[in-house]
Formats: sequence, structure tokens, C-alpha cells
Amino acid sequence: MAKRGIVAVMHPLAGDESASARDAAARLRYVAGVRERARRAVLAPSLALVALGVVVVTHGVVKTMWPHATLVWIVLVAGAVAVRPVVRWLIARSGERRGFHGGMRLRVACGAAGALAAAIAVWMGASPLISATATATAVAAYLAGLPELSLAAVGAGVAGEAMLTHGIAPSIGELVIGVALIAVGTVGHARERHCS
Amino acid sequence: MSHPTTRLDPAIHQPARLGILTAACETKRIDFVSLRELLDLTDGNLSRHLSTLENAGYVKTTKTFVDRKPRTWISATPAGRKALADELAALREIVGAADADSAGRDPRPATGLAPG
Repeated sequence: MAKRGIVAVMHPLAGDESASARDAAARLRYVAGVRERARRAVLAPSLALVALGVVVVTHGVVKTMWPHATLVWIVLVAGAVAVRPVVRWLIARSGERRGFHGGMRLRVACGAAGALAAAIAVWMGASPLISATATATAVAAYLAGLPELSLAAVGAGVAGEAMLTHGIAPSIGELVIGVALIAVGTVGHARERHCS
Repeated sequence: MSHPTTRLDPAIHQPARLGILTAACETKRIDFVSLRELLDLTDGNLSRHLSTLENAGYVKTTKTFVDRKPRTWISATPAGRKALADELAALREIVGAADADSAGRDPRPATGLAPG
């Protein structure tokens, strides 16, 4: 402790107080920037937006082919269970290739937000799938310092829910929204790379 | 209560080391090349700062092979996470104290003497 105290006295921040505060503020801004860039690389919210698009398109296609609601859910849940190991392998593989392995804290935060949104959607009679994916994506984009992508995810989620609840040509509507999400995600991915 | 500047840790106060520890704490682990690109550092510079952090017990490095190529992974230790949290708390306290100081400061001169 004594050693740290002596070093701190010699430290540049221990001098002029206004300079200390400026230096401290600059360091905090630097940390915030590094944090955002790291989160952007780890969470890749644009890819999540593309995934949301794929989910919505798949939902639309499945619903068109098998209009029975229960069957749609069985197919989607079965599909999610079947692809889970593949997705896990892909995430691990992409982490190895990209040089990033995401921390649990960020994933848990996004997952918890998605679960909460799904619960609210069930309570309100909306689609938990779209709500959960859109919310998790919006939170990921916000944490990664991409508010416009976060807004796009919220907008797409709200539009998707509105189409589903109002029964406006669900299959075609979902296909349109899904393709739009994939497009926004692809553009966002380019922006992520530009910001990194 | 000690002044926040006395709680700053010289091992991580240097901006590059602060950046390295921040990136390591935001990820489960990050590889050397990605970290170098993220922080815009040179190989030698990053190696030097990593050694300092490793000696302080704030990060640990592991080596693996990906597609038969060696990869160096950097991860933050619990001590490193705590050190970063303490450092950021001290920095925030310094900024907060300066803000409070400037908000409470009387703009008039302290003495009642007229200039000249």
C-alpha cells in the first residue's frame, strides 16, 4: 500500500487538480471507446439482426406451408433444438477465427432482456419469438455503441408484432420484414467493420 | 478517506495497459492480433505492456493452435477485473470531485481588494 501511495504522489494525476480531472476524463472516454469496440466485435449485433431476419422469414415460410399454429411452433422449436449444437460449434469456431471469445456477462445481459421481452409478449398475446430476438438484438447493439442499429431492431420487432397481431398477410409481411432485417443487418455489419 | 489519486494503480494507469485490461475484461479471451488491431498498437509495444500486466497478475496468456498456426490468447484474471473496477472508480471520483468543485466555486475574487 505504501509503495502504491509513493507512486501515486509521483503520478502525473497527483499534480494540478484541473489537469488531473481532464486526464481522468480523457482516460474514462478512452476506456468507453475500447469497451464499445470490443463489445461490437464480440456481440456482432448486425449478425444478430440478420439472424432475426432469417427467423422471421423462416416463420413466414413455415406458417405459409403449415398454417396450423401448434405445428409452426413444434417445427420452430424442433429446428432450434436441432441447430443448437451447430450454432454453438459455429460460434466457437468463429470466435477462434475472429480472435474474440465473448464474456458470459454480455450474453447473459442480452439473453435476460430477450427472456423478459418474451415473457411480456406472452402476457400481451404477441409473438415471444420476434419480441425476444428483437429485444436481445437491440440490447446488444446498444451495448456495442450502435444506437441506430438498436432502433432498427426495435422498429423491425414492433412492425413484425403489429403485422402478426393485426393479421396483415402474415406470410408475405414476414417475408418482407425478414428480408428488410437481413438487408439492415448486412449494412450494419459494414458499419461495424468501419467503426472497429 | 484517501484522495482518489492515491488509489490509482500505476500498473494499469498507462493508457495502453488500461485499454488492454478493458478489452480483456469485456471478453472471455482475446487473441494477440485482435488486441493489437483493436488498440492500434505495435507488436513490441503490446508485448511489453502485456508483460507488465502479466507480472502484476492482472492478465494471463495461453497459447493454442488454430489451423496449425500458433495463437496467443489473453484473458483477465479476477485480480485484473477488480483492479480495473477500482481504477475506473477512482477516475470517476476524480472527475466527480472536479465537477463538484467547479460547480461550488464562487466566481468572485476571494479578497475584497479592488484591482490596481
